Amino acid sequence: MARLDPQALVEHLDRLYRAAWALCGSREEAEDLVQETAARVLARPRQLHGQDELAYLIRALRNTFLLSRRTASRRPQVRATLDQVEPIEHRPDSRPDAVLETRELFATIAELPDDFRLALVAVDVAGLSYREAADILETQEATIASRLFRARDRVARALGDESPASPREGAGSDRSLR
Amino acid sequence: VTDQPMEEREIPTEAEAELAGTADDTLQPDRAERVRREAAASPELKLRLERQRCAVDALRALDARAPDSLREAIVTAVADAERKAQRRLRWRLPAVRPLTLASGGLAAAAAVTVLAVVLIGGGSEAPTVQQAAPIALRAPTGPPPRTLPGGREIAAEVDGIDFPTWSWLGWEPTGQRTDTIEGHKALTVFYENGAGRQIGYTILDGDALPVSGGKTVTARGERLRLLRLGKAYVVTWRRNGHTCILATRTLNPVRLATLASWET
Repeated sequence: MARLDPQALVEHLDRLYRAAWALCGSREEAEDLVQETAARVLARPRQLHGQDELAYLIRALRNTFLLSRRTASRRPQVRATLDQVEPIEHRPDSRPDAVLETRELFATIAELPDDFRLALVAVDVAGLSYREAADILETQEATIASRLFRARDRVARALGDESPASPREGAGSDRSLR
Repeated sequence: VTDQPMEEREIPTEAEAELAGTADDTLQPDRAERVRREAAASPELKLRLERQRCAVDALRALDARAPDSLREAIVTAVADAERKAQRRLRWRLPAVRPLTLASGGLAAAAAVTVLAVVLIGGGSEAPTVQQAAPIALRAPTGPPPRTLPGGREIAAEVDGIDFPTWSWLGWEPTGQRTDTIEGHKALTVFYENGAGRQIGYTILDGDALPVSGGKTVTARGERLRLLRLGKAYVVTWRRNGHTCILATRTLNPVRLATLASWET
């Protein structure tokens, strides 16, 4: 049976990070979640059981997220003030407005109900197929599609874009969903 | 129901799935075409489909990359895990007793050969980069090249590819040597940092050498090939069609790959 190549963590790191950010809603928590997931995955050799490596890692990320949230719910909550929130990302290729849009979008996803958010993260953020998402979330493809519809609907409304959608060309069409 | 705003009405789950699939192009083309026709005839459906597309476009455009600190932590964790896995593999290798060698020496020798190949990187034959890499681990035969004005480069290059000073990263050139391997001239510059770690940076002239085995690693977003050579680590990449090799016995592979990433 095929084993997970640990290098898959490096190869899929950006997608894992985006998925983690969408689940947590903050960059710091996303970094912690990815590191925690990597530590758990690397603790021993992992069998893929017929899964794609990315699907395996997204499942691990989701499980670690749910576990860490359950643990966190038993601890006293500390709210960060605005002053403690992370500074604007200083990457030479990032525009401040794009950074803010990105943050706004991740924050919007993080506000979705769990079922909607997990479906959206698996398919639209991580790039898994409906079938892979259904397998990870232990439900039917049709249910994934319905949750996706509702999640996207809420995201679009939250972004305040009730006008006709922008042209689809050139919007990351190199990333297939299935 | 008719008193609700039109976009608040509930629609069947199947219709939701079809709209979602139409928006992200995963629905069968004939069904998607039917959905588009129905949406064109219904302002309510049209609005819902447009919202789906708006969200899909925004989500597909997300390109946030993992920060360098996280990338470095993951590369380190993966390298540590692979080292542990290699140690486990060595530990599990049964001891070869004289009697075994006498009765089944050929099989035992084959097993040892297979293990050696696995530990080196999984290739089925010695790759040419692996033949050239030991040069970067040899001793210098000449003084370090002088630093050029500006402080970022030194007076050493191969076919227009300059060697860096890396002083700004804490590394200073300590020597150099010239070799020839299978017709390729190889210039190596040796560096050392304040902690006494040493690396050799070799650039070969002529066409790039083939490389197999090892692992592809990513440092600062650059993809590099990481190989093991006994106890040494080797990172190799191509620049302007030439083979570049960075090798060390005293630096961890993450630091080595990070250094190399500044030269890709």
